[in-house]
Amino acid sequence: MKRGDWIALACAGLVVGALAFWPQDATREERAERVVAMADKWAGEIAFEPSYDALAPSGEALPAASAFSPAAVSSFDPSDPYSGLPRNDGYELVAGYCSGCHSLQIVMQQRHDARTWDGLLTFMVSQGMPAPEAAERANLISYLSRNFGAQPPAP
Amino acid sequence: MSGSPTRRALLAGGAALPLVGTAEAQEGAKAGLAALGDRPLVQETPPHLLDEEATPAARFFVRNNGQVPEIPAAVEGWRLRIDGEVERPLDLTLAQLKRDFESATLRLVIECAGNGRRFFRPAASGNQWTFGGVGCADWTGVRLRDVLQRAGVKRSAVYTGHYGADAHLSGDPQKTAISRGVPIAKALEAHTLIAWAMNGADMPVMNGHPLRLIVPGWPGSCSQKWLTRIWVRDREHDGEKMAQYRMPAYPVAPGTEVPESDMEIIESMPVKSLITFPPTGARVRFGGALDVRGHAWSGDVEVAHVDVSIDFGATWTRASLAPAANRYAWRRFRASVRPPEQGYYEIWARATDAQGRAQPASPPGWNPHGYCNNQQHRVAVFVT
Ligand code: HEC
Repeated sequence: MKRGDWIALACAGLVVGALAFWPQDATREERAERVVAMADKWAGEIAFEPSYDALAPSGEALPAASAFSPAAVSSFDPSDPYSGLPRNDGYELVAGYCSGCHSLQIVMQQRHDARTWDGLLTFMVSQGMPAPEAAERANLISYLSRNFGAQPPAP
Repeated sequence: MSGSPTRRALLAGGAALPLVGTAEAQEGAKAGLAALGDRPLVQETPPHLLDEEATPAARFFVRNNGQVPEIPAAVEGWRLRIDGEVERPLDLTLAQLKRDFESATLRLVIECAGNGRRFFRPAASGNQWTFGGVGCADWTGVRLRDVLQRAGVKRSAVYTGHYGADAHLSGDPQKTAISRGVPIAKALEAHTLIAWAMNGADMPVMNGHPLRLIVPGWPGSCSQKWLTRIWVRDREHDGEKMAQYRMPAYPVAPGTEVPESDMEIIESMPVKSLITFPPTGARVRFGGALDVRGHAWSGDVEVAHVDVSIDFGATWTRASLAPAANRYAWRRFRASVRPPEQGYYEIWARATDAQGRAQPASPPGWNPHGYCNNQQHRVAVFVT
């Protein structure tokens, strides 16, 4: 069988499985559709977690200080007035907006694409953060996804 | 602690940033634990520091969601209200709790539902816990069941809603930092406690002194700290973060955006284990047997057995498993392994529950908030 056939077969299997086991309610069909949509969008490969990631040395500050950690790229530094934020366009904005309620440590340990950062900003506004106007919001998202993106630059 | 966002700094051009609160928030931080957050304080315990049967207070992990409340010196007057779907709402002091109800001491695990979050790809947002968001202590208190029965649970009762004295991070009194709850059946279990002591002493303020819930086997967030109120609800509780501690109703591909209607509240936690000896990076002499030990625990389904591997999971050795001090306590496992030659080894531990479900080697089902990662713990040792 060709690769496409296998994928089609897997999709069909998922749908049949879903129909057989899911609750008999109105959401059943919607969920089946979402699973097909998910299968369609799938990248075609399992992203295996590097095994050494689970082997951070004991006793050291985790995760920021671990040599294996992507967080080592730019780690939180409480002694720095800007908490160790990389000094590129937007760092003052992020420090200003994001260090009132919690420190920047919770911000700097994340690794997200722009869509997820955008969602987090919405969450923060619901928690009482003054809503940034459009240009500021775009700057915040741009800084966060550039410096704390899903694929951080190598150290 | 000033809670207001630093608008002032923005207006002033961001020049002088008052990064307030860091120093005060460090108060109560525990030496030797790894900080995931300094404000609010969030600390996890390196696995080798969890070797004791009962986790000492000084090593018990910390997860704060809001601002730590001021605790009065005279805590016997601390008040707990029980209201909602009950015949007789109660307003109890800590002194009354101690005097009027039978007390119990139980060894119970508390684990943050986000423990292991760091290993999900793509990354899930929140504190990037590795393995140490767990502890098991001897908790003394009264059974929540006894208190609820004194209040008289109405037939209309469905769920509990828990409240504590910690303010929201913004300082806004209209907002709640966290308010989780559990179905009445879980609240009425004999191991669900309202506790005031940990290992025979007052618990650290960072762990909820003077009064907290312990809802073993379920996400740690159910075990409200600085407990002030239990609201018995006639429906599923809808307090702050009830919407957050959820997992997809069906397995999703990594990175999928899951609609809220397809997210379900996390209840019982999955089976898990931790190698507490040897510490990772240890060097051991070639030739002899290598003793391995740790703990295994689970949610509402008990642990059945633990296996250990030193060849990346190719072969497994059954560990001995000590009886639990009581239901929901973690259980000590021990194994003796013989590395066949010198070199680099990883010791992997895999617990299996009574329903045959074992810990996976890599993170299980990706989920948007990164909960319930019960992947096998591994330590590296060099046999020299
Ligand atoms: C008005 C208060 C407030 C401000 C200002 C604020 N946050 Fe938050 N933030 C919160 C609260 C409350 C939480 C939840 C805390 C917790 O769970 O411990 C949180 C949590 C987070 C988290 C963890 C999210 C998760 O899924 O658990 C991230 C990331 C974050 N904030 C980023 C930001 C960024 C980026 C900014 C600035 C653009 C910001 N915050 C500004 C209140 C705020």
